[in-house]
Amino acid sequence: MSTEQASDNLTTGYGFKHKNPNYGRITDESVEKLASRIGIERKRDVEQWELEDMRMTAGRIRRTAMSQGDYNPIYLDHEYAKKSPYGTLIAPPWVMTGIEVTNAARDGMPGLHAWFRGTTLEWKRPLKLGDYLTSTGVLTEVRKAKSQTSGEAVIQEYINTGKNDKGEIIGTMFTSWHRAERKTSKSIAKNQKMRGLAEYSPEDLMNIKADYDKEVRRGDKPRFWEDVEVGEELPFVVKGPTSQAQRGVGEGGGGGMYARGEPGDWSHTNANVFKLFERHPGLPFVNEWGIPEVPVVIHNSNERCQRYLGLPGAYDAGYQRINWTVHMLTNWAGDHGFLHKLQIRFPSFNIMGDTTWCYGRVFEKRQEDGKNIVDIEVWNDNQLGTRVTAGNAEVLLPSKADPNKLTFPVE
Amino acid sequence: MAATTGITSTITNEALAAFKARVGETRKRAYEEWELADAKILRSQIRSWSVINGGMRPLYMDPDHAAKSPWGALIAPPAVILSYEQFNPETDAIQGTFNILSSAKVEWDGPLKMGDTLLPESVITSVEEITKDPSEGRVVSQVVTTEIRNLDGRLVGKAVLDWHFFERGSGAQRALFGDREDAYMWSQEQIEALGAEYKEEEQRGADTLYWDDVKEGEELDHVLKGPTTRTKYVGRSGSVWYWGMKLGFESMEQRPELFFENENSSLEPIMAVDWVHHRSQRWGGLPGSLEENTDHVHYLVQALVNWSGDAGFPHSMDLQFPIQNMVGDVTRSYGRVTGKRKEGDKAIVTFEVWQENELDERITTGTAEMVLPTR
Repeated sequence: MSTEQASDNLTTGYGFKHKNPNYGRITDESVEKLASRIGIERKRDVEQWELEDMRMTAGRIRRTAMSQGDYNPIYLDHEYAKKSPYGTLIAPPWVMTGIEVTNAARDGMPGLHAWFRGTTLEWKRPLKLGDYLTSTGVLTEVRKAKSQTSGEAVIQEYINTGKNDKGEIIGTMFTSWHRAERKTSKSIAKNQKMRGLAEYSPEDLMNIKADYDKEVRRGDKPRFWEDVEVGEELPFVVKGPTSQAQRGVGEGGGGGMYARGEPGDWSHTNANVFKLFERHPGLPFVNEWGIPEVPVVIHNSNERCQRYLGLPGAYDAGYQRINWTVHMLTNWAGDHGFLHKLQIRFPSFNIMGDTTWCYGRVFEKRQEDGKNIVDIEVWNDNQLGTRVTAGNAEVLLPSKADPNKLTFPVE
Repeated sequence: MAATTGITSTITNEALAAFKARVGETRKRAYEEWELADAKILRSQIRSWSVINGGMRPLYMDPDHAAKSPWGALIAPPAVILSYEQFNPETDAIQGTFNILSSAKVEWDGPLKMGDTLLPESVITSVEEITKDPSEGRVVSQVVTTEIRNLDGRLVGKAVLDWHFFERGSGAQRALFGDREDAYMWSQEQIEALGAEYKEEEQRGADTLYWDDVKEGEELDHVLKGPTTRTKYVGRSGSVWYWGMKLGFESMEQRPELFFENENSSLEPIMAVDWVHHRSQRWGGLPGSLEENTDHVHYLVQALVNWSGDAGFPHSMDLQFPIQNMVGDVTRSYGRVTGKRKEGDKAIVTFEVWQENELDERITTGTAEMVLPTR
């Protein structure tokens, strides 16, 4: 199969022809149809027994932490965690990114490409050992947009709220997405500063290894608000180089333990995949060997992104960069601090094989409503020095004036 | 830029001796009280196993259906006991080698039910060199026996898996692909025919099949699986949670032979070469990547339980995998009744079983036993 044919099959479908003439196109009708869902609260279709199965076990917490390279004992060491302000193991704060009820990759205008523009996460309290997380989500915005590089596009935004099994709010997640026709997506890629895959010399790898060894974790020593200075830099953390093996665990591969064999989880095999494509005939692309597959797997390898999308390699969905930035912030805050807010956007691609350094700098400190707040500028740079992530965070710290007062829950 | 072909590895006398010295080594997954929840079979776990390999039987998916079955609760697809082995052949054997599952002997004492807490223990029972032609590279067999018990110590299942380890880049490794030069190329018509074939699958379900009614020579309806894709295989090292991060770097220092230099001239676990065709071709000099034979045990079990219905349960299987499927192949599972016997209170039916791919190659041979109720 030629590259052109394979690429055409990506947009036109093959094997199971879709009948929607507007598949993969932005039309007034499809935008209006999507916009009609604005304000409607949606719940994840999860039964009570499934929630019970989702309770945070020690193993699940450990795997979540280790998949991102965060070996904080507050996630891994039961005895250590019992002595912490939480009194038990807690899940890494980034589990909150799992509360999305839906997003632009699954909601409306089928066949369009979806890019994650950015997110604002706000945490109220930790998710503890034995808890489970429920969520609701609302589409808040659908608007057409024009950009210099992408032509016509649609911005699509959501707010999701996560609660624990006691009904207490764990936090919220706002997400913003960019939708574009796939041909337009290719032009975006071409208009980006094109680059090849990352390449490393043995010295580069040794330097990355040395940077891993520089990690500083505050741990059980409280960091007091009074001791923080504006302009102070946070110790960085490094992540990567990413690879197929790393992405496999870092992004979870989709589906995981909760695969139902229904559209939306990507673990389709055997008879299930045939059922899926009958229900959603526009979904599959045809792979190099004539077999229909779910398009998300294109992003599992560099060579497929090059072949089918005209991109330099497999770019990430952005979620790992959130996780890694949270790792950097919680390292600095220590067990007594609490990450309250993280606003992040993704100005550039992160390609499979890249290395990411996560940085932060304090730009303000304030006391409001009994909270001792530190405002931190955060950013991630790759091995080329390209800024791939930028944003701000709010960390709550204990005060020497009342050192035993907990920094959570945040009301 | 990284080299485009030619990853090789060698099984040295020292590595083989060290591997042999591990015979008798046991590994038990120990759980603290607060961790036991992780050893419990969850309904969602059963569903996931069922969706991925087990055929989505109501006995796995529907609690109301399962409550009325002889087992009274949801049960797990029986072949999941293969996944309880405590030695990882990819990371915990002769490092840098390529491995396949060559044969599997599995015994069940009964179903694994939702809510059961399972505690596995594995022992390396043998390590032997099985090289046929030294000029084609060394091959080593490692047999691992895993017993799975529930909380009160009752044995619920046992798996004896024979893993073969090949030197990468050797003729013996290439011979696993036979004459094949590439993965199978499917036409649209063939794919549509497979879709139609899937619809013909029938499950006996709650309609009880009695041992008394089974006739020797009776054939099972075959079960189709595939074509497999990388959707299934990428990221199957899910149990290794630190790749690409700090512990991954430490592992590179401690076990450099476990890594290869990838397209970024960065180091990545070598088994990631084996997951997808492009990588196997580029770095392995091979026609592509192979399927995992553990999946084929699931497929055969499905053919057997489709035939037996809910009241039947696998008693044992003894399978050999003489020909390897490539990712992208299909597997059709077949069986024929060869005999019946009673053993204690068990009424057993014995089978010849086999599997074939789209090239009509017999990729699996062996025997199986099912326990059925009697009238």
